[in-house]
Amino acid sequence: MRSIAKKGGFYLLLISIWYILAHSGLWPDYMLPAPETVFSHLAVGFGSGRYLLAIAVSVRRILIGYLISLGLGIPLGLLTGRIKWLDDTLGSLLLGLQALPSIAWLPLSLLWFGLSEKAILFVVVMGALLSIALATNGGVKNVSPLYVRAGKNLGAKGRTLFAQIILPAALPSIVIGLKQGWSFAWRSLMAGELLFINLGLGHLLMMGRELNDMAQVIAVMFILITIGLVFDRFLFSRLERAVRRRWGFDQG
Amino acid sequence: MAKSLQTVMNLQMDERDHKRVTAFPSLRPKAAPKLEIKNVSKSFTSGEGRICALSDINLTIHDGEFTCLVGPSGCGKSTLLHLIAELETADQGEIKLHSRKEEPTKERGERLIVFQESALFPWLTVVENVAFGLKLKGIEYKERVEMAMEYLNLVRLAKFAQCFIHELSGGMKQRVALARALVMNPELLLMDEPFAALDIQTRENLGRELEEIWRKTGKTIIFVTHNVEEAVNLGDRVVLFSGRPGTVRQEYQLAVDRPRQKENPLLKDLINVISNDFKRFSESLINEAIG
Repeated sequence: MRSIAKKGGFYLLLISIWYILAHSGLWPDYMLPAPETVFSHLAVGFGSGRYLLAIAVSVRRILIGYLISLGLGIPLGLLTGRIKWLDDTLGSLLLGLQALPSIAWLPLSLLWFGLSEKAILFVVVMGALLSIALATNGGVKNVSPLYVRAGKNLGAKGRTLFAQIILPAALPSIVIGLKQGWSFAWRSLMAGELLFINLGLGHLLMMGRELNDMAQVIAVMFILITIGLVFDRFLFSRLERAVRRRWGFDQG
Repeated sequence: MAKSLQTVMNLQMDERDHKRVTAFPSLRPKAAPKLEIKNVSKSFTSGEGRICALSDINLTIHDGEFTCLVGPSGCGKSTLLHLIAELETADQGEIKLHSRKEEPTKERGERLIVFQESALFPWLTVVENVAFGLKLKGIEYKERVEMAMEYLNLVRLAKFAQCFIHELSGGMKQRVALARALVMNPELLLMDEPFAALDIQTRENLGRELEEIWRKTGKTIIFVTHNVEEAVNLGDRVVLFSGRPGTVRQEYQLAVDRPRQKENPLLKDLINVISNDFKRFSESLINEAIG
């Protein structure tokens, strides 16, 4: 309870400072809107359903893109992690592509898919795919040979060895990759929506700027933060906690 | 050397010039051979070329015997254990297991190793770890949990069945590792310096527990250590290795009463004898290396 009180107090203080600064006249309205303006924007936006629609669109895009990345990335990572010649060839390609900021895929994507949902989906997938694949690859490669030896000694071989020993042993690394992939996917999505794509939160953000409506911009930023926190709290933190419960803190 | 030990030691030379030192003529009738190691050699390629880890090893392990392999680090005793466990294959020679079964199957899980670092799986609970080998054999859930709990009781860790590995101390982990091996009812129990990473007190306690479990289960145990005192406290027989390349230098039969008492002067003398030989063989190695 005390930490909630501390946090609440802190944020209340921040909002108060913001209020004072906004009304101080130091900056014009379009640079620093007052907190109450932002809140009223949020109220209106949600009331009219506009914000909800934007949230639905963005979240739908990222969920579909992320699931595709999972479906492709984990098998890719597993295969390259286990099969040496695949790792040397395909694996090196994945490593190279990872250096590319995922937003750099957008021009190519637009060329291939036009101004469509497919274009934005492609960028989201490229954002997450490499992180997931490479983390899975690393996780599989770094499984302690001691576990493999012990497993073989107890009678595990082939597919059983892989499913019962290597895969679980790689899990902590994979979870880290999942979280990182999500983060990259989200960034790619926002960049895409900001630049070219209609609907969605990024688009709302851009519209706010074009209309000189800073309150809208900040309102959407709040929404983005909230969504990020929700997914983290109900998904990724849970995963990390589950891993830590089993492995302890040493997840080598 | 102590007179008591002198009257009791018989030196025998056999054709291969292996010296066998016996303390007391053997009181027990010789048990049937369980494992025969014949002319085994093993080399590895490394950065410096071919390293001969083991050279022409000949050894017979008898049923129910507690054999300790002693030698300095890097003398190949762990390699020998891996060969026995069929984790690797010998370059030359053969290792023959005399199975207790009528038709020995090519089954795995018959020569189990307890490693120095316990090698327990962190994503499973204690009881799931112990039951892991049984699961691989296709044994049903209820039955394998029952069997696992039986052996967890044997190592006195039944209370910790639902814990995860990181919650256990080093000594507890080794006991779980021991239970995991024993529950499979293996033909051989191989232990690769299992207590080396533990503090002295835990080592001694686990040593005594192991001795008791051995007497209860009658397993054939091959125990690798670089600690002479530990070997003498546990073994029916001590085999002394020297390294680079690894060879058997000496064997010692220890028909000393069990449970072994630390203060037993016979044990102390044996420790001295073996330690001196240990040093002698290591020094000659160093001298050879310096050349």
